[in-house]
Amino acid sequence: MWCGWELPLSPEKPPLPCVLLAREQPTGSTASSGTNQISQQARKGKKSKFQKSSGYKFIFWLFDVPSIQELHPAYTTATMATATEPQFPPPKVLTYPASAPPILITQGAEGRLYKTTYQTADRPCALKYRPPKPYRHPILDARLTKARISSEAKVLEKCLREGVPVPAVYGMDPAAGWMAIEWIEGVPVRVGINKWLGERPDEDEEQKPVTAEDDAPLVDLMRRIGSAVGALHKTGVVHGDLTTSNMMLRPWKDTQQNGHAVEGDKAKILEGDVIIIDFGLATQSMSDEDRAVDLYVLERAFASTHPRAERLFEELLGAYGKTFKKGPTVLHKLEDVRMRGRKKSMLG
Amino acid sequence: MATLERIPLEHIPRTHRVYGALFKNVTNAPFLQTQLVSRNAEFEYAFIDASSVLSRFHLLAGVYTALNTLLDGTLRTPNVHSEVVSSLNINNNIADGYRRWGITPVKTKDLIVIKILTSPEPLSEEDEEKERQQVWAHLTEVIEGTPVPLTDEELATTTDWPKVRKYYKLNGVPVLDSLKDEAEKKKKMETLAVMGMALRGL
Repeated sequence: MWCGWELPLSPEKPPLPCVLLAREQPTGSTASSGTNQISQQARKGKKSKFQKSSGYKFIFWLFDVPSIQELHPAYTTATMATATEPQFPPPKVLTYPASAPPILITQGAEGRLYKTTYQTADRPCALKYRPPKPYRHPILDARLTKARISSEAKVLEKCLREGVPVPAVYGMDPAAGWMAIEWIEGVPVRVGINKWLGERPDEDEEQKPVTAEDDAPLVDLMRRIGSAVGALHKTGVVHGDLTTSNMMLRPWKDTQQNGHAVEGDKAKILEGDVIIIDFGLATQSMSDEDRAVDLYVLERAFASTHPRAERLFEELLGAYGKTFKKGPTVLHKLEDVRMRGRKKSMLG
Repeated sequence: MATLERIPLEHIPRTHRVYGALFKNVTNAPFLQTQLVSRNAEFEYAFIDASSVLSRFHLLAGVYTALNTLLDGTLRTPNVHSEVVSSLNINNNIADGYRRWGITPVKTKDLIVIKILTSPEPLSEEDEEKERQQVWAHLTEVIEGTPVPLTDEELATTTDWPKVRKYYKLNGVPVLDSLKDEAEKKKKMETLAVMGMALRGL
């Protein structure tokens, strides 16, 4: 059932376009029994039956409102810019003097990443900072921040002990919400692949088909990614947000080529060790389902960031399957996940 | 001639100064330990057994953690110097930390000394030099041993690797067993030790 709605408009509170999802309870069933029903059904994964038998109706509201400027001329672009200007106070730990000022690298939904130094000026480090959230109760906020920083650090330690390529943790203060980790040189894999694809002759022309040799460096990189993800899963860690942006390509040192032949300047773009970063959403799990979902997320992300290299994803999966014993089982599970999507449990 | 080093650290206010020195073949460890136990105010130093320390990076990670807790006002031991020693531990047992990384009457031969001094205002360079020489004069007077520079090379000669492996739970770690190169292995152990310290009590 679709309903239209009009919001009361005032200059103080600009309306935002939003979609609401609500659930109407059927008469004669109490809330608690209803929830039970959902969770039981959900565990069995009977998605289609559950809506019928529980008697729940889903109602969507869609609000589509014009932009703020259209509604109120007072909201000019200039005032909006000043209002949304990021005022990021650095964490307390970065307010003390250092050889170089910290650089804000990126900002995520939960935290910020700074490039700074640890101990000495010649040791760069990445400082991950989760600022306090004003919209949360302070006690809850402190607890969540602490738990999230700690769990990320624990996952990193586990990976490092098992030999998975991840950055090392130098120091942390979970209560203050920061963690200093090893700075990984190089570019994200996403940048490397796009640069590589960009430098190739345009594929639209279809003049000469891409030969296997042309792709060799990229295929090699895909295999290295597959092995890195396989090594990660082998230790019982599921990343939760695998994308080519969350992998770094650390160039090999000139002295050690790790047995890979140098193939000219162009191939150099894709050279390097694949280091997996950003374990903010990582969980510890040994289940094939979770691993398959992790791969599925990577597959979808890969297809949208590098559509031109999508056909090479098979190479990644092939290398993944060879990395550990349960690899083939996970790949089999991936087929199921592809058919139904990411969420099996229908919770959250 | 080795002397007391003023150790610069990143992200530390100018009002806090860190000094460090390394003494080899120390003969009066029992005396020094007694002074610490009796809380002699003149002996407010971090005395660290050099055999449990891997490198400067490892040592300074402990110093930085201790300074950070001092700045936060969350010291869990009597002062910042004992905090340095317990920061080198990978669990929250303070007595355990003193025993393993601190000075011990019988076993300690090589000794690292860390002194952290604070003042309400940053000192001028001359005052800093004066302060450094005062501390050094006191140290050379009370410690019977040979001062050597606090460098990675010197620290490498004093490290007791089996002990460090035990203290930092590095036995049977898959990544260390897979590494063949000895230098690479030591580097990895250093990383894992620092990581263990960072994750203390988690």
